[in-house]
Amino acid sequence: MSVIVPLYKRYDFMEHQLLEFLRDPGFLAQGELIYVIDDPSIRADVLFEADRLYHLYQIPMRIVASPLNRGFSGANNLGAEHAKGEYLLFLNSDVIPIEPGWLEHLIAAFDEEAVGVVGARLLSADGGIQHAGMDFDYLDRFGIWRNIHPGAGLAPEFDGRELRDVRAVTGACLIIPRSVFDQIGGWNMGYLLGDFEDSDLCLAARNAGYRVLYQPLAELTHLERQSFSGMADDAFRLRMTICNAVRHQARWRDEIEAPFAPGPAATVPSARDMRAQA
Amino acid sequence: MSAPGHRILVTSHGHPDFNLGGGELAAYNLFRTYADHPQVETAFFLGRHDRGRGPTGAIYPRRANEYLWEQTISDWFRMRAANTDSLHRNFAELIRRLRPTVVHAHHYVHLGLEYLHIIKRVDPSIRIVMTLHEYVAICFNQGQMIKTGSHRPCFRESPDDCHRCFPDRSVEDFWLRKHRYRSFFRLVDQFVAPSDFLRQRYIDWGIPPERIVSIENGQASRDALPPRPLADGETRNRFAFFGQINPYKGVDVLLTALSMLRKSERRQIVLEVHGTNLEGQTEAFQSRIAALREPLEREGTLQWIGPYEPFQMPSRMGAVDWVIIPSIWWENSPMVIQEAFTLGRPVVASDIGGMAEKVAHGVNGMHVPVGNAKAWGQTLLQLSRTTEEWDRLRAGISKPISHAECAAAHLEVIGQLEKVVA
Repeated sequence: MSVIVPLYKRYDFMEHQLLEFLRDPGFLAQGELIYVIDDPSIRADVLFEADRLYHLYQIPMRIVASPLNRGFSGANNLGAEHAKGEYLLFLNSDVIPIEPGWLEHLIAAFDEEAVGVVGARLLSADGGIQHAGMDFDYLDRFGIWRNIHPGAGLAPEFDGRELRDVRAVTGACLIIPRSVFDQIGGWNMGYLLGDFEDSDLCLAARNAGYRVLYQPLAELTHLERQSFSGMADDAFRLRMTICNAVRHQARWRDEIEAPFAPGPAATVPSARDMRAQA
Repeated sequence: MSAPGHRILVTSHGHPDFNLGGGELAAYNLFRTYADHPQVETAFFLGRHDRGRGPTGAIYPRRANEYLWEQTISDWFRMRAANTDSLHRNFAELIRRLRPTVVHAHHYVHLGLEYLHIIKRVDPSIRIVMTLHEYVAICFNQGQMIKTGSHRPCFRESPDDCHRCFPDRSVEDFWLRKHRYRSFFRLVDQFVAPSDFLRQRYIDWGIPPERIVSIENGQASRDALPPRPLADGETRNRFAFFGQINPYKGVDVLLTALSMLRKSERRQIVLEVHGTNLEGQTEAFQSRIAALREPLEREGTLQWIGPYEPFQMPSRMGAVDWVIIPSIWWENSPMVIQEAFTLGRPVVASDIGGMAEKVAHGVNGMHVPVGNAKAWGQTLLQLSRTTEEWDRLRAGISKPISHAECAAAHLEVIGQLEKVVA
């Protein structure tokens, strides 16, 4: 198992992650921790901080530093190049575990048949659901499919506790076997500024015949500040999102538009279904 | 019970030789009492110190079994120690050499939270007991749990509430702050709260009830002082404030209260202010106090007496009738209440938090609505007109627990922890 965490701008989250890893024997037994510095301006600071953290907590870690900013996919791929594990866990630096055992829950999902990618339940700082699997939603005014987070903002008890098939999971915390990762060519680097890479990875895995599962028992906090609509506020970001979406659906239109047939693991209604009933 | 021979290291954010705060004194008194206890093999004291040359991280002896540590905080929001090398080098070395079986941590301010981890890393069997002195883990506003700006009491914390007090810090920042505190607090085997009020606040915040007990700070055993001798026709009209003068301690409320009385009413009252650390406050606060103070001093209602050493407390309290605590924050267990009760002086206090808990209204003192200058003025006026009410309330005082009783209560708790280990 290799845990790969890209660092961009902020690196103060490292200590918060380590404090949780430290009390999780299951995690510590799993293998290597790799931080990827994807921001040359913080390189010296991260190395200094890593030294401090190692002396305090003595959790081994590897630091891979990129001389340039490669973006989310590039940084993750760089980390993967240096990873030795049979499984790759991609984790955002602002994702903090809540209780020990989350990694075992993610790995346990591979007991199911033909699993390619497994994602975790992410909660926001206020305790509401931030991610419980992703879905696609058609925006008429731009003619694009965007990614949405069903159930976002609701209390976690409105989400089921069963492992289930989903169309995609967020890249903020997902695990993928090395073999599947290599087979689908890793993270796609053609998107601009961090958008759609995760659904692209999931669609590529499904296109290759694998299932994408969502494991609600693996619960972590994601400190990302969310925009309410899921669409960027300023004109530049909005145009970029549209560009990315167009590229995304050019690659995966069939998979996106195909009716989604949940696998046998999907035994409970999703948070989205419950919201629709309300 | 046979003596298990505890080796107890007491850590504190300061040494009372240099910092005379209530927390430092409580920590040091407990250290001295532990040292004399038959169940304790050896007691040590480690106080954070500032020689004015920055956090060198150096540890050096003060006197037998007492050490000073030049440490400080590099990030108060996260309560992060400034000198990390010193944590895993000389502090770890200190733990290895002193071989404590128990570390009784009295604070983490000025020390950082990380040393708790180092203790357990050196030897996971060391039990950590931590006494909580304010609400620092809960509240970034200097642990006072009052709102920034308005200084109104705060009743609950949450990332959203805290963000409103500190708009520059995001909801996520406050989530991280709490997360960090809780991560380190997990290493603590037993928390001690000097008041039930503080205990409940920390339970609401997330400490499991079974891991936090209330034990009052101990006091030196001594007899109560005789009442202040009264001249013919004189009444119980002398009030005194003891302690730090800062915006949370309510001295300004008290001075305003006196200013609001009629001159003829004021003449019946004498207020002594035995205050410290006013010079450390903001210019604005200092001039506000100066403006309130000047006319009252001219009239003779107010006597501004200034700082005191602990040993001077009996002579100073002996010269007054009442001790007053007008704080606008919750307080925890103000040492001055226990001192007043030890010396036989009823207490007039704000009606919230630790003050309302420790002073029983109409039994051993009086409550006054917090921050209400008008009510403070009327209460002082009424109390100053009689002698009977004072006699009645003085008779209602029961003796506070002694240093020895306080240490015994802690050793009882420590004994329970050791049983869990065994």
